[in-house]
Amino acid sequence: MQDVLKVEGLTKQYEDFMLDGISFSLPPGYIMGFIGANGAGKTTTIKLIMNLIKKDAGTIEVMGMDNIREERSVKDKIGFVYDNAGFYEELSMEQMKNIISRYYTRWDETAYKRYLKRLGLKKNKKIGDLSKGMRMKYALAMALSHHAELLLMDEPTSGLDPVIRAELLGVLQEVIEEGDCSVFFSTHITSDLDKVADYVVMIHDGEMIFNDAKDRLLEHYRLVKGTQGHLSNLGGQRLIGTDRLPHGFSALVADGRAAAKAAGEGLVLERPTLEDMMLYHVRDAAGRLV
Amino acid sequence: MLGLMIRDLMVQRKRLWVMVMYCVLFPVLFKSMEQAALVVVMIASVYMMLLTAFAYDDKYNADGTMASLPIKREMLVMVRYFEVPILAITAVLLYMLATALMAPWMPGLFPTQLLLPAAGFLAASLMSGLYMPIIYRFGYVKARIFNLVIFMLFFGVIPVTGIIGGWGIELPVWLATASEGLVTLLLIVAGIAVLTISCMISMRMYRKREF
Repeated sequence: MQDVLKVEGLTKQYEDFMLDGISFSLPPGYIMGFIGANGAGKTTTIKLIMNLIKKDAGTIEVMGMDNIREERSVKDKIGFVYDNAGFYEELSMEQMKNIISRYYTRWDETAYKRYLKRLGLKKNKKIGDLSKGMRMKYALAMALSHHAELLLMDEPTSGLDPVIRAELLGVLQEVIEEGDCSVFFSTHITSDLDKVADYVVMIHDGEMIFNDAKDRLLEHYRLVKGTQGHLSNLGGQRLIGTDRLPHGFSALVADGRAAAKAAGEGLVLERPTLEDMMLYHVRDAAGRLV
Repeated sequence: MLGLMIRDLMVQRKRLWVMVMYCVLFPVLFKSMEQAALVVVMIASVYMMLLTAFAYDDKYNADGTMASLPIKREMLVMVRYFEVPILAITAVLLYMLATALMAPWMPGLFPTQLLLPAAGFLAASLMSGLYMPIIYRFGYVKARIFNLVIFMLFFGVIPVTGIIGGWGIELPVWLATASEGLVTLLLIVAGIAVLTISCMISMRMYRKREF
């Protein structure tokens, strides 16, 4: 089945930052989490997908269409939710909807009203009077009301309280269960992805760190804790973000079984969260820089 | 196109009162100019409304949102150029209404020459046509420094040097003796030409713009 989003060798060079040959693909009907620290290149990648900035190299395909050659068709199939929603605050939600809806070939007024109701939004309320959470809900309602096949979200849960975050994530899961849409979701709040993501891509300083199914990542990666002796035994293993403690060490390994075998008895293995994986990889990269 | 124009109108609807205020105040402030105050009203109204539209885009980061919609970037540029004649006509109508109502107390302000609205249109087109490519190239905030330059040019340098006479340029005989209708037509065509050329430059700039 054709990937909904396929990115290959995506490169963008700035004076002080480079997105360096990022590649990943999102199959239809899944949620892909896109994680990384602030400044890792997440927003740059999303802007490149939306052709808001120009790439230096690489290809981006949405439903098999080139995102630049077939820009309008591609954008017609994408629902976007940006951290900074970008709506005119002078207008009511209804007025803003009237401006935007006419440009989508498959705008569905019934779906729009259903999402407003589902998310507890009053259509005549002025956008300037909405809280950040309400604005994100509104942006999500707009993004879902034109039968988008790809929902592109840049830090949608950043700065929101847990209740609203849970509500937004609940809507995303419903959308996926209905089977109409795939979701590409950038965030640095990895706990959101623990709940909903099927695939996870991590980038750091513009470079791809990992790209795999979330369950496979969580199954293979392990947090290891042990003594100096274990550390010596693990010499042949790739340790990620090693933290040397007074009586031992902790680190992340990509293959927990191999590490356990190499280290010998007594090595403590824990299942990492996505946050652990992000932190250890970032620490590892920082260590490598030193 | 119409939808984008309605967007600007809705976002700036409160600003329409400023246009009305210009139409009432400027004829009084520029009483010595008599009917020619219309030109000032047209320039000020068109320029103010256009700049406010760009300011709102910048304030709410709406540029990125609009560029994410399935709309050609060229369309986003063109709409602002189409708004110039519409705003100019609106300013003329408001000015006519205001000066007609003020006529019992301040006679001689109601425009009776076709030439004046045409001159106002050309002047507004020149000012907007110079500034908009700069906004599309650098963004509203960075372009503000150029705004000052253009404003000084139009309301400082040109009037002081005495427009055409002051530069020692003589009009060709055919133009100096041409009918008011022909000169009006020429001014309107010149205004449209300025906007067309400026629009093409702005489209080129905006295609390359990164958000």
